[in-house]
Amino acid sequence: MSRLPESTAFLGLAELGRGLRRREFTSLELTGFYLDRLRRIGPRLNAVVTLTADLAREQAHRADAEIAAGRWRGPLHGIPYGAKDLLDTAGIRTTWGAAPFRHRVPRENATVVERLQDAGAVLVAKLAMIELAGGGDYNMAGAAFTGPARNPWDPARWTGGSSSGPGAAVAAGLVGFAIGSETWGSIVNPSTWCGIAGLRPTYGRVSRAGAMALSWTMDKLGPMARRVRDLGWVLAALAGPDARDSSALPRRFRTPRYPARLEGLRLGYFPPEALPAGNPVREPYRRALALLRRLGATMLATALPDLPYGAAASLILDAEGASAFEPLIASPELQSLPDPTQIAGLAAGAHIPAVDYLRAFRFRRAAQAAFSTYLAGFDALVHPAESGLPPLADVPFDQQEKHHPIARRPPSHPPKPRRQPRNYQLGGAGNLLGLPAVAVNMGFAMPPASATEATPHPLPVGLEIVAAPLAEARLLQIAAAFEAAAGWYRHHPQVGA
Amino acid sequence: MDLTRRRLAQWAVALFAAPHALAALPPPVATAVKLPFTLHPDQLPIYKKELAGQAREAASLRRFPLGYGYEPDFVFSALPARPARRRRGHSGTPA
Repeated sequence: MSRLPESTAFLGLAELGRGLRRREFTSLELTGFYLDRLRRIGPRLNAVVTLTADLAREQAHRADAEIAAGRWRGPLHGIPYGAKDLLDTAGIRTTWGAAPFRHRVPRENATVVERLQDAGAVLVAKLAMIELAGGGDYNMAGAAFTGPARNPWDPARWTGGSSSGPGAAVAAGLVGFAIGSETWGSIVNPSTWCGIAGLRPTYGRVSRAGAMALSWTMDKLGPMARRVRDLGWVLAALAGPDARDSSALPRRFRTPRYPARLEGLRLGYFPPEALPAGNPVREPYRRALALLRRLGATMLATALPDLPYGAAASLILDAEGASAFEPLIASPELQSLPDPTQIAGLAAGAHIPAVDYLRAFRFRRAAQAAFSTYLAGFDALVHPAESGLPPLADVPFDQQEKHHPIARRPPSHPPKPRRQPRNYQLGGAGNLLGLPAVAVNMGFAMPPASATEATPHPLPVGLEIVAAPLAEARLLQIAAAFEAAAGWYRHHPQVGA
Repeated sequence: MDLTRRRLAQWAVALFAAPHALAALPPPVATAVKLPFTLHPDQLPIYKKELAGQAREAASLRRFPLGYGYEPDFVFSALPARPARRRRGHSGTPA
């Protein structure tokens, strides 16, 4: 049993790093502490695919020796982390969350795994995910061979996806931070519903070499953590060019200073009144806007340019996903996926005509130009990251919509564009256009009483902040000021000792 | 012929959502529309719904005028556009 108190599990990277440098604990102790929690709590949340205990102890031992010798590599040195199980790890299985790939063992590390190793971080676990990162759409939290990931704030509810394991593991204090991926919502959504911070970098910021491909022109990798500043440290370790991925931009990232106030910033927002009365996110969002105003930001009501972002994003994602998984779609193993929606969705993607796919590409360039002009009026846009609360983990999503108006379809395939209020297409727009976003907790909301839940728990709701390409530093500054003033980061789920 | 076969497959499933529809087609057509993957009967309605969704998405994009001519950089559209000059505010760089 570790001598470290449970509160250690929920510390941010600054505090963990300080503890390591002051020799309050070693990386080996911290690694053992998190491995113990992963073993005890991870299975309850279906958060873990593979523990990497041997590798972790080896990396932690090396970190301790280097720190003791005065060779501190930076804020990630000696810190245990988890990787979504679509990032290749040499000699350690990488399953993409799907039964047909459960015995897949890559020979090389993904570039992000290499870069975190270079930064001195310690890989403790490969974390659960929606299979194939949700390619083809899905209708159940159980679309993963590890079972439905359970939300640490209420295990009857889902974590969100497709980076479900990273969301659960960070929120429950099973790792110091985690790496997720987003094609359309897969970092922002679980970060929001698990009450943590998540960063979707600009497309091209982070190399995807050695990551599972779902959509070559929309996939991004990014950090998920308990504090906004932690996201910046991780991005600084990950960003930059890579000979193995020609889409990786030749730009490094330096963490910014974090002013407490937001004077001089112009933030576009979508009026909360657009959410229906009684929506559980509306009031926390209204309070978040008031807080940003008190912090000195100039708040400007706005509306997105009226363009079919969602349609283009959906066609590109479905066509590229069908191509990425063409061998699986043609094989009988397709039927080993547990979700019929995903099976049918992957198959349907194979029928998108090339002319429709190319039209979506041509539209994307035109939309980028229009959006660039639109964004020039703001330093960032803010809006609720999700307009609902997490659905139940054990009931198909479409069966909940009838009875639980707060539940929604998963982010990989939101309601068809014509049913979406225009402003809630920002998820589709941001991912289609490669824009960076930060999700940060903006409080908690109580779900309405239901027949299937004896005791409803308060659930996290999140604010999403979106800006122009490569403006991650500004996003982090805004999110960090909001986080510090709001103070929601001090709350942690009761997951048991 | 491959393209025709694929489109026929789409039409057949869209028109006759029922799983027995393909078997009910005259033999030459049934052979032509053989799907390049296996779906169970209970998956066909979902498949049809997905195809209908794709058709709606494609239609909504067709309403956006793109016109004629070269767009030499559209193949690079995944990469972020150069940010437009901002009117005022923080630089966003380390400060």
